[in-house]
Amino acid sequence: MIEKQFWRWSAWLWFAFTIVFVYAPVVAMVVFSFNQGQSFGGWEGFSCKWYQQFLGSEDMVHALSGSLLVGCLATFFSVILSLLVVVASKWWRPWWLLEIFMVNFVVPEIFVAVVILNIFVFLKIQMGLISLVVGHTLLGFGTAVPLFRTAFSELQHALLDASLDLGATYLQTLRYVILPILKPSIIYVAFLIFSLSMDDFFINFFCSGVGFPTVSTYVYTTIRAYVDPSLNALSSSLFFLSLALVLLLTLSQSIDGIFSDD
Amino acid sequence: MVQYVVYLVKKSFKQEFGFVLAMPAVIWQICFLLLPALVLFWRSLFTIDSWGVTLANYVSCTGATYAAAIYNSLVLAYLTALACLLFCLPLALVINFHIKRELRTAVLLFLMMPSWTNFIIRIYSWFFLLRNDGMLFRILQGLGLLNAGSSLLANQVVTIVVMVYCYFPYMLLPIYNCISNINPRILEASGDLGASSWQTFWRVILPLSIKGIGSGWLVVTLVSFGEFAVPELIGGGKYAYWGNLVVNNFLLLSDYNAGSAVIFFGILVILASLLLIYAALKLLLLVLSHFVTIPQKLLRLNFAD
Repeated sequence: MIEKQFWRWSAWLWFAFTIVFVYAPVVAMVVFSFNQGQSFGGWEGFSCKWYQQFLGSEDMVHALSGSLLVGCLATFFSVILSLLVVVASKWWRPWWLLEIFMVNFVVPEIFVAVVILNIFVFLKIQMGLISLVVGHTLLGFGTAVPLFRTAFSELQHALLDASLDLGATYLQTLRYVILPILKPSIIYVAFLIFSLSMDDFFINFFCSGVGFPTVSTYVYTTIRAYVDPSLNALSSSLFFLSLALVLLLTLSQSIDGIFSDD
Repeated sequence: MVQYVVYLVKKSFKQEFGFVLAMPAVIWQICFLLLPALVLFWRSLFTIDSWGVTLANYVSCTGATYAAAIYNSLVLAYLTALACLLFCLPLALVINFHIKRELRTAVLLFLMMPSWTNFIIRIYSWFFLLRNDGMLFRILQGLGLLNAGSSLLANQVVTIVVMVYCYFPYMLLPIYNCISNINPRILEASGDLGASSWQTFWRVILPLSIKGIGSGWLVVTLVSFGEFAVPELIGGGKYAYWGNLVVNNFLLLSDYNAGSAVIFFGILVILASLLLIYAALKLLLLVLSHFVTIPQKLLRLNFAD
């Protein structure tokens, strides 16, 4: 009995430690983004002036909108293309079809970034939006293909055959049978890829070229040079954005069992 | 006969439909990743000033500065993976056995939400604790653990802590996935048959989560091996890492030939070291099994299945 108590207490202690570890930096950042002064740890009164400065700064708004644009485009491409390739594997499936996408997840991200940098420079294509979308979509494949693969293999394939036998065309089967059944995992995967794209550093760092700043590159170059409290406002806004996305995902009810196979 | 022809046409049409659906992603993958990777490898076999195929770029990777940087990255990668494992294994157990079933997914989402904000911003948020006017620094100073001249930044331990902060989801998810699939009745049985908590962990839970530990370990070492931003921003940039070599060669020197050799050499090193560690661990378990009882499933150490 005492042993059981001991394990229960240490479990809760570990959980509390985890919460503090995960949230202390973020909460401190959000709190001090409303600080009057420039200090990272001394409270000097409430103020929204850093948010005003952030919204007034053309560079920051540019970087943020660049990141959002890349995130949306990469999510769009990688969700649609990986869904199609997974569905296609029912009818046309050489052994390598789904395996080639495993590479993206297994190699270090810096490798993908350098490969894209090299090919764009080699072919003398201007880097910027295109190279970023290409890279983030490749990253997205690495996540989306395995997840869709699991979801699609759990789908009852008799339904597809029935739909085709009863006279539906392939496109109708895709539209009215496959998509509705896979909807929860599509929502989850889209969310995940958008977050991965917003989160990414390496591909942004190597492939954004000169004229296309993103949040990662902007923050990275700025914090190495000087202290700018309006960065805190930018960072906190991004945190609020991902908070909102997580809440939306939770409300959309598509999260049940996403972290376990059963 | 006619039916057979219809069957064949239908089947081949099916295949063509599948082919058309699969093509965009396959073309994207091949044109932007697989072929360019081959180009990159091809470039690594040449140097800027000569036209013959040579291994000179690879040979220069073994020079003292390069070897030191790659060694630093190896140490960083394995320390991060170890720290992530020590942090995530208990955490996954806590989430699975001490939190109500309906809440588990929400708790995991809640824990991982900061990791979906932005990688650099996550590192940046640690400045609010670690800088000399930050909270943690003040608290530690108030407790008398730090004296005025010291700093929490430019510190190897803190670097590992922040690395864990950035990469723990890659370890937590696969381990949790394995543990959540354990049938609770097996654990009940183990308890009823008189096993202590420790024995249940060692003989039941650990063998059943070995697959998750393996894939988490693989991913964390691979991603943190390429890391250079955390050591630079948090660790003060005191040491060079493999990632720095890549950045220097590609972005500063624009020497793509040498850079691609560095990339492939580094990946070779990390993969070889993973294999080596796997073999060493297997040998160690084999030797240990002569002295203590080790569960068969652990002894086999099969991460793939």
